[in-house]
Amino acid sequence: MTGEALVLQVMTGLSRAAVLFIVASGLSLVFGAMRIVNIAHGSFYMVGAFVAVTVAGWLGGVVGFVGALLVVPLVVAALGGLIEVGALRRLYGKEHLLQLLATFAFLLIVSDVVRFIYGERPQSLRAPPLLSGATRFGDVFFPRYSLFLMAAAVVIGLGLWLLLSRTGLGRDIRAAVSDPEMLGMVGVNVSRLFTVVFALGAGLAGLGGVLAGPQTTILLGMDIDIIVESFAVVIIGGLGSLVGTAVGAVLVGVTFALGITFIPSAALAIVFVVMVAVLVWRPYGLFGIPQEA
Amino acid sequence: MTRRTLQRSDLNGRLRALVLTLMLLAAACAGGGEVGDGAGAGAAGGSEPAGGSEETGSESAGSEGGAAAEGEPLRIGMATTLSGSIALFGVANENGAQLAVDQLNESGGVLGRPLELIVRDDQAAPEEGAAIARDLIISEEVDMLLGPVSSGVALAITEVSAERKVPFIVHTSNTEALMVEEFQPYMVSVVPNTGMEARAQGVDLADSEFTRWATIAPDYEFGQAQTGTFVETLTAENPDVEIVEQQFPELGETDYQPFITSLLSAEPEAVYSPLFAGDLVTFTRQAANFGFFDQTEFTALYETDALTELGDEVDLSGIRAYSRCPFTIDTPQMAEFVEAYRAANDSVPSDWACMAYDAVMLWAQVVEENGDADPDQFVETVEGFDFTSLRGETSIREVDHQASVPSYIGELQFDDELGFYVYENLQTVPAEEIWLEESEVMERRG
Repeated sequence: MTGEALVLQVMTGLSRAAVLFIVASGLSLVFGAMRIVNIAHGSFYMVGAFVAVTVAGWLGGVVGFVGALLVVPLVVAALGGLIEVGALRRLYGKEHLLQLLATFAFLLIVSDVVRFIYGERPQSLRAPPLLSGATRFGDVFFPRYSLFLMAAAVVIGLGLWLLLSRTGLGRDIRAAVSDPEMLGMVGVNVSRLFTVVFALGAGLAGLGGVLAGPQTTILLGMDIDIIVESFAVVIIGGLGSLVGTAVGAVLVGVTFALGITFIPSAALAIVFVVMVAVLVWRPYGLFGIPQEA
Repeated sequence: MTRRTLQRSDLNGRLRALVLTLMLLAAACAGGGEVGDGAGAGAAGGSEPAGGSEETGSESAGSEGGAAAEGEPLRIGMATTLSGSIALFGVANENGAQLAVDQLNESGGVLGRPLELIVRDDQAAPEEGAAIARDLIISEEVDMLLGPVSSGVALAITEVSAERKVPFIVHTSNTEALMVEEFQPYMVSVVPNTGMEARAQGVDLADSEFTRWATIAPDYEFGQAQTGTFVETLTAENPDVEIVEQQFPELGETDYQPFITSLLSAEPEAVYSPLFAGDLVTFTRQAANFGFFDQTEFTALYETDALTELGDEVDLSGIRAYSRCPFTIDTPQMAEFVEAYRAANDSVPSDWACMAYDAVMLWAQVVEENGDADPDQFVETVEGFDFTSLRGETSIREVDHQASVPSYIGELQFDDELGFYVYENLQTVPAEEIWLEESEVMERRG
């Protein structure tokens, strides 16, 4: 394999990592701050993609895609907020099993609602002409949209970092990650904070769905596909760590892409071998904080 | 019109994912392992009965209406894929079979009895397909089964068909194993099988100047069978051919990009692909963004559904594509069928609608000839049976119950009126040139 081909393969892996990072960062945030394992996180991603098709259809053309990019994450965040206030809030402090079952129930409900509204047919979302097609580097073509995805992931990553490190909300979230019990005692409105964090997490998944739309096929079942890979990402990176999520996403994306070239029949298995290896070495993930039992 | 559709929720897939997730979590929560394990077992056990009750719930919603013909209806059961990336085909299957049923009912039914079509979603899962086939036979008492989309499912259903002695006509799934190693007398095929199709293409493409070939196919029975026969035929016809790369992504893969770059870096002159339906559409869109079609020749199963979906999005001019039953076939039967189908569904019929229609019509003609829907009489009469399909005069070969249907190869050209690509210079490769010799069939069965 030539060096050029290797670079191309790594780049492809990075574009896969970009979407994984955006979605998994929301999952990691919710777990880190709220200790909730949200199995319905992939549903927000799927809803984001499907609603984007509708919004883009209404507005049409380039405006449609940009509009979806701006509006859909807000819609999905609102949906997340609603679920938190309406259901999850009642389950804090109870067994983890209850929370798991509740989010699993939402996964099934959302999936059936999407099926009811959109049917079984795969949907597609078109990227604006500016972002479609290939950019040429010498003899190699690379999709412009993938470059855009990587840039978007970097911008979102930076935005999240700024939010967490420079704002009052970020300070509260970080406090919740390291010691949730103390937070209430120092006068933070924990219940409002949790709603905001859950909505933010859902919004990130929704944004991931819109962004992934043009380069994938929008279809029932995409919720499960993304949630399995997202869990791999956050487990490798360490639940609750932004940097860990970024590193985990890159590892999963690039390992998969290179696996396809070198050991085609076992590409996905290799991703999970990497995950298991990380777990054996550091059970709390690469950048995670060891949990107290 | 009598019709019942039941779509089981894809709870099985969900459960698998949940269990997987819980296992991941159990592993992840250092110190909390026991809680995680308990959660896994509890959740899986607790959710299973829900799947069962849901099924019974929807089933009772079915209705039986009256039809022109009288008496107890003859029932046709169809297990096909109505969800996921290949759902395009299942919908077409249902529409094609339904049109046949409606037309037969309007002209007095079969044996004077009305026909009823019962359709269920097999989710492209063999165990699901077998379960549905059993249930259709036992609870719905169907008189025949129509084949699924996936060859993996077809292999599971053909066993049920043999065990229960119910005729099973495949019209979309087409692995050659159905006619050879796994042959059983109640199975009949009106679709060119993987061997016929791959040999037609192998012979056609061996004459091209390309010697560096790559392949990409879905990773299951059909994809492997068709790729295997194609490579075998191509290399036998042209010893200079070299296979430089082979990829087998999952059925329903949504991100083909790493596969595309991997194919391109092997620098093939041409790529052969049995990807189909939504998978082929996704692949085509993503490949176009890598300049794939400028860098290599490509040939694939671009049938009407995929082409409709792609519209004018990607420049496919001149691509050498193959098809199993294109609506542009020049027979009076096809012209009539296309008109009726457009009136009923507001779209042109895809290959999968045409062949499902042929399957129903074949069964109806055999049953009329017998004057009885008895399965064993069906098997006896169908061997060597001549009938006029949408593809012209066709007969069923005795040795393997394969219909003498041709394989079609053409070049894609954009059709302004329809708004998508269709076949130009449609070439017909007759069954007699591409199916296994009878002696070969017997030999392979051992």
